[in-house]
Amino acid sequence: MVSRRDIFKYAAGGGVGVGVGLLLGEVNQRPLETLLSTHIPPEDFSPGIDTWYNTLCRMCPAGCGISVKVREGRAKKIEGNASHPVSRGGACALGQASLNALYNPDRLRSPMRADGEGGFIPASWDEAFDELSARLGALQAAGMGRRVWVLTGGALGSGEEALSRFSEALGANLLRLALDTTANEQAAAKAIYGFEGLPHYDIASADLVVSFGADFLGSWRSPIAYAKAYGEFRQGANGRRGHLAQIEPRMSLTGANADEWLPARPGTEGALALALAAEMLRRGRGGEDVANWGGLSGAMSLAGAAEQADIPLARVEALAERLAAAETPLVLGGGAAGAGTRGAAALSAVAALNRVLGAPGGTVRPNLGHAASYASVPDIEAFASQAASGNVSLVLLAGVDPAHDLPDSLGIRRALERAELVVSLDSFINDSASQADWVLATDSFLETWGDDISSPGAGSLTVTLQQPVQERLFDTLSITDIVLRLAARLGGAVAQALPHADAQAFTRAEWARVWQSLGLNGDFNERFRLAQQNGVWDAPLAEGMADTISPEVPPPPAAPGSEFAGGESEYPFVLHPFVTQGFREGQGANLPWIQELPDPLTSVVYGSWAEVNPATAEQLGLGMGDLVEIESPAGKLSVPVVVHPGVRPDVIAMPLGHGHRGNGRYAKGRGANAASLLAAQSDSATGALAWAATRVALKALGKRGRLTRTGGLSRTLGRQILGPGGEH
Amino acid sequence: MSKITDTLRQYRADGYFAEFDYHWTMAIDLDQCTGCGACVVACQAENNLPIVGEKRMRQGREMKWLRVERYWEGDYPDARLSFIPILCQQCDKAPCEIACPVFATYHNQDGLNAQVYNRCIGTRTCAVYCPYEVRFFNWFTYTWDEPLEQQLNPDVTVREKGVMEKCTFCVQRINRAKDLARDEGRRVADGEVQPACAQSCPTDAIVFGDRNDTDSAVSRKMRDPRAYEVLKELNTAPSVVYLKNAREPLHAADGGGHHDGANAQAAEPRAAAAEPRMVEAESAVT
Amino acid sequence: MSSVLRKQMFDHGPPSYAEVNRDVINALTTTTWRYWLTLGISASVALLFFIAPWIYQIIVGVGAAGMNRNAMWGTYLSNFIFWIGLSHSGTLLSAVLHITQSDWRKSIYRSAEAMTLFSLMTAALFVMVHVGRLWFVHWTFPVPNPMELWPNFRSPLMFDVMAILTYLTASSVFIYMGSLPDFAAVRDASKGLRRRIYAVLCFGWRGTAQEWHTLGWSYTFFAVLVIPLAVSVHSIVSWDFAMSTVPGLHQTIFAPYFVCGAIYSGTAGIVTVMWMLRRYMGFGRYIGKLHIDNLSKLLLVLSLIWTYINICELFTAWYADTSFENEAILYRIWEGPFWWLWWEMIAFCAFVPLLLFSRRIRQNWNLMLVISIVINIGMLTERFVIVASSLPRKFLPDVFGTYFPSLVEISITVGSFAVFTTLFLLFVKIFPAVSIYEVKETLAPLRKREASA
Ligand SMILES: Nc1nc2c(c(=O)[nH]1)N[C@H]1C(S)=C(S)[C@@H](COP(=O)(O)OP(=O)(O)OC[C@H]3O[C@@H](n4cnc5c(=O)[nH]c(N)nc54)[C@H](O)[C@@H]3O)O[C@H]1N2
Ligand code: SF4
Ligand code: SF4
Ligand code: SF4
Ligand code: SF4
Ligand code: SF4
Repeated sequence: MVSRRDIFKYAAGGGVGVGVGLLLGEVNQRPLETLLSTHIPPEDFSPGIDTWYNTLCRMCPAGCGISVKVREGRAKKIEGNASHPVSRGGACALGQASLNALYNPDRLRSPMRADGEGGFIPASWDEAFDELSARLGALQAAGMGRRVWVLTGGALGSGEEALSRFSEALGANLLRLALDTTANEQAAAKAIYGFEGLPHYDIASADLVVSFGADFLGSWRSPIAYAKAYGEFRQGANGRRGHLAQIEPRMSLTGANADEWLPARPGTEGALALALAAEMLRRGRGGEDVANWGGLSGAMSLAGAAEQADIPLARVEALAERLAAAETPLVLGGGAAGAGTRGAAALSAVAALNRVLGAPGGTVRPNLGHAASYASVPDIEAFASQAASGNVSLVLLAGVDPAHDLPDSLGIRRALERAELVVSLDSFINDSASQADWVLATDSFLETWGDDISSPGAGSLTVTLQQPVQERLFDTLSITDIVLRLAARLGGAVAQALPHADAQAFTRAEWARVWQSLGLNGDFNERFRLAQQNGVWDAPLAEGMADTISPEVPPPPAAPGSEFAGGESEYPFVLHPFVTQGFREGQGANLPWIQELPDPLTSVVYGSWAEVNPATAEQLGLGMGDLVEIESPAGKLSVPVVVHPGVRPDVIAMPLGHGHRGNGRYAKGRGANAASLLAAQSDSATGALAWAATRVALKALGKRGRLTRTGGLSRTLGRQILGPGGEH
Repeated sequence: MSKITDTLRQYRADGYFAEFDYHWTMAIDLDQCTGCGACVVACQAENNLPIVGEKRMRQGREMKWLRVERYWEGDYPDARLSFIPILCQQCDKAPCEIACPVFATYHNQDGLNAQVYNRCIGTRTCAVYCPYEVRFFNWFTYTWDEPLEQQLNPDVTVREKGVMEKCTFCVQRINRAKDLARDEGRRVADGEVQPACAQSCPTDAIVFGDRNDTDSAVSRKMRDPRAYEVLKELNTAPSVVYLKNAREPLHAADGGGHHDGANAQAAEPRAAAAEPRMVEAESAVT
Repeated sequence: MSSVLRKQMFDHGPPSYAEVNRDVINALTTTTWRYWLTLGISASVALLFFIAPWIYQIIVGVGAAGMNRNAMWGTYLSNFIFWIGLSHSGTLLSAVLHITQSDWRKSIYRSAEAMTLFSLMTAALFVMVHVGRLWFVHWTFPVPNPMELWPNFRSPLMFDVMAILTYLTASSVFIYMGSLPDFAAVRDASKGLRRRIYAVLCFGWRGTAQEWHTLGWSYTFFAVLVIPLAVSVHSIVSWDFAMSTVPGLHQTIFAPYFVCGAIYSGTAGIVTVMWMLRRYMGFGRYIGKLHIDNLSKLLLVLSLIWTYINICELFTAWYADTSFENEAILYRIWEGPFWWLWWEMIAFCAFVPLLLFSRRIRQNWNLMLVISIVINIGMLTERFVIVASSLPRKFLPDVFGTYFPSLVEISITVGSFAVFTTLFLLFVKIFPAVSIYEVKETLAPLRKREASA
């Protein structure tokens, strides 16, 4: 029998229990995050209303101006900045997906130090700066600044400027690393057009575009700017729909959109361009400036070049016909065509064809945005050998992941192992950072300050301002902030070179300096506010800045074919690594939107693949998704194949940017890293990394690989999907 | 009864939506579209599409309201690829609408095929009936790895398991523009509202606007001789028109001297022989 | 019916009235351990293979099944159609035979009708398993609500809901009404609680002339009503498919094809159930050669019609020669992953039944059990093949895909047979599985003749 007393007891006991439970529940809850203060209203947003900030996309070197939609203090959507001359309102997949980096679950939330067992433990900024400045200070005091190496990527602007000043004051070495051959393009422009810098190609005004390997719609230089121009080119900016011919061994996105795709044998592009140039001269094209070029003595006959390039002569002749008839033709070269061991020479030949056609001044103009000068192979090898002999004390990785992005054959991974202290400034524990002793968590580009001088049209400089669109999500700093704080701690010459409080102050100071040097007067604050509003500043050209096409240049010598690492009998295929706009060299791999975006040509998601021609596949008994082992003189890997007719039978094409050992859950362990197959080949003239000059062998492993594709059957089966009247 | 049949007849008649203020339409110029996929990511960002993961991708459960399809023609070396972005065609005679037993999908007065997530019971009939396969089903309740959820667009709901979803022509953007125009006592101006995909497109291949306004950019595109409707033979009266790629036919472009020409012209390879199945047997069992 | 035929109904000679009562009621009252064991196994299988995975699926989402972007429908829908199909024949056959006064129906119709009822219920379960949000499935009913939202009467799925509910109601009333006198017989033969329950169940049936008269005409009325209903149900179910534009589903012939297939599999199902009743419930005396022979002849005719329609489908597709039709048919019978199922279906449903031309085979109960099961496997396959080979490939080749059922789906499919069996096992303990009074009706003339002789 339960007494009344018992009932009270139970009730009281139960009540206390429930109370404690509720209390514990409350205590265990995540602390409430205050986005909006109820007391002090933030000046720049109201709940439920979008705020748009114009800033700069830093996902690739193109430097597009973007507008970011912010709601309740959080970046929500990235659009192109419609008033920006590069993006003109467009934004590519990678740029839009940069939000995935900002909010990435694996993004570092504070500085991390290696725990000595391959893992990392959170640390404070003070600890990080204490240790780092002590080391740097000691090296500096001992006059051993040269034992410090700063490795960075190709980003341009004041952030880069801070890094160079820092290195200079410290006496350290600075290496700019990327799988890029800007040097070859610059060498060709210098040789044939006679200006410094990269050429700007006016695709919109052309009625015929012939591209030797430049995937300008996919990933080359400034994809958004070129895509905008391409849209106009197709609509006939000059009253005629432009015609596009693409010459490349593997169909790129640009090749897929071309009116004709000519799969030239790798390394023969230069000879083909030169033969076409000679043919144009024969047909009487070419103005006075090339009068002294004669018949371009080194050029082959069209038939010879067609034979060497393995393209039917009739198609080459038809192309010559078109070139001869074009009113505003444009020939451009890049990508793999310029990344052989004779890349600079090949690109010179391409430029020569352009010059003969009279494009310079019409559709080719000097680009005044300064181009990053990347480290040459000898530079990188010097670093590796210094490290090997124990002369590298400290490596600062400023936003690059060379252990993934660059070929192993260059020895960077080994160099990082040998270095005494490796500090990575990054948002993720990527492949290089995992070899570091410290990883200093950096901001997303959406949380900090910076700027960029990007590929403009012509006539003025386009300077894009980068500014934070929201508060920092985590305990992070930008690379510039880190450099500035280190400088302050180090004192002396370094602090003198960089006396700024933070990235914002530094950026403003840089702009003030430039404006002063340009002789712009007026209220700086007001002008800067306007730049913040518009996101971009169209800078007038200073006296003598505008490089022009030189009136007379010597003809290019004959371009010998590229030399490939690996013998043809042992390695029967040429490896064609290609960059896709989503992944680039690896920047997109940790972004789930990019991993889930089907590759345009193959519809592959989540992983990488090798593309083989159906004839090759048949020969080796390969079907879609079968696993193969690809071996080069530099390494080997296994990857599933995709069979499609857009690749030469003697070429194996592989996308770059996959196969990360770290870099967060979305990137880690997905696909294989094509860069690891590349031999340390370099351009004979410029020393630029020749990333398209490696041969490989292919072996079927007799198993299925992990290949996920969203596409079904990529044939129309005669259904009128692409328009009435059959296929086009 | 006759009232019902009259209404139906009227609704099915051509030009019915001309009576209303707007008839939203999209034109996609395939001569400009490069297949870059920027629009696909734009849609994912704008409309809170989930990240489904590799396993579910392998099971054919992707969630992409907009996809870029690819079609090969010919054989090496005379091969050619074409892209076509496919999204809900907002059919005026939508097969999906008659399929739905509970009116979770219906036609609104702007000519949009609307989808009411709250009302959907998940029979998936609409998806079976949709010839364009642009309806996507929430096989699970998808979640975002923290803090990715902070990106979610507050103007668009997040869908739960058991619900069908699809392209809405970014109706949240349309509604905002209409609200604003109504407040200011005017019509929505041409170009004032842009779906996310159209806005991001780097080549301006996508043009969006009101077909009832005969001067609008989209109306002009519709009058282009290259304009056509995909699967027109099914009589779905789509609100997405495509402009045919203006490339020359494949075999005229190569100067006539192609080798392997004979088999390049041959019939399309048979379905099963050419490509393997999308979903492998091993991934079929969950 | 001639007396010769009547005599043939009973393989071991006509029983006496008392024997009929005793045999049938015994089946209700004496329950062997074997029955409990069977019921236990069947219920556990239903629980383990049907209910448990279903709950799992409700929790995680329909993604537990193998359906995907392309194949939004899968085994759940094909099983739904299979079970609806199985429900035909039961009530339909019973009604047709009642109207044509075929007396041989009398000992088998009760369990045939029960089959209808339970397969309809199983089918309805599959609808619930199929939908994404089970908890809102009532929105398919015209339930008044503050939003003034009604179901969409243009949707073939709405036709379904209405047709199936009507059919279910009509069949329930039909079987219940026909059982009234037998409930009374059970009441009279039992004591205690059972007596009281059956007193309620039989609505106080007393057997007055007025009652018999009313039962007679209303039973005939329902028989007439049920026939068009049954035809409409499977026509409408076929329209779930045919009203779409999907190649392989969009077929004008689907309504008659489905009706024919439904009766076909339903008849085969009856043969299976007859065999079980004879074997396990001791009804060998009431279900004899005549029944199996007649049912087999019906099966044979239906199989021929079914084959004919299949040929028609292939022929029109081949003759039209459009990419859509060609691909759909080729994928179904040759290139797809389920080509072998299509050939299995043809072998089982078109060729195996040709054996029924032989009377020896027709009258062999065990052989007929095998054949009837083979036919139903074929019919289950037919529904699966239609769904699984059409939906993954519709109009745009770049989204062509495939579909394979997941373990959850396979388990639920297997479990559904246990659900049906469990329901049926419960039925035979509640309803007199053989109609007592109607069997007696057939006996009466025989006995009269015997008496006068
Ligand atoms: N002049 C005047 N003022 C009054 C009153 C009055 O009588 N006269 N009455 C007072 C009283 S008693 C009350 S309760 C308040 C009511 O005031 P409010 O709470 O403002 O009520 P409503 O305007 O009816 O609805 C608010 C909004 O909710 C939206 N809504 C509807 N359904 C949903 C849904 O499912 N989800 C979401 N997110 N939104 C939805 C509607 O579209 C509407 O825009 O007004 C008070 N103010
Ligand atoms: S092209 Fe480069 S800079 Fe421009 S939006 Fe894309 S990633 Fe950003
Ligand atoms: S963004 Fe534009 S160009 Fe790119 S795939 Fe979409 S429609 Fe085509
Ligand atoms: S495209 Fe499909 S989902 Fe969109 S309206 Fe047409 S039938 Fe419906
Ligand atoms: S899935 Fe939803 S919208 Fe589609 S038919 Fe079923 S209830 Fe309607
Ligand atoms: S209109 Fe909007 S919802 Fe539709 S595909 Fe484009 S972005 Fe997505």
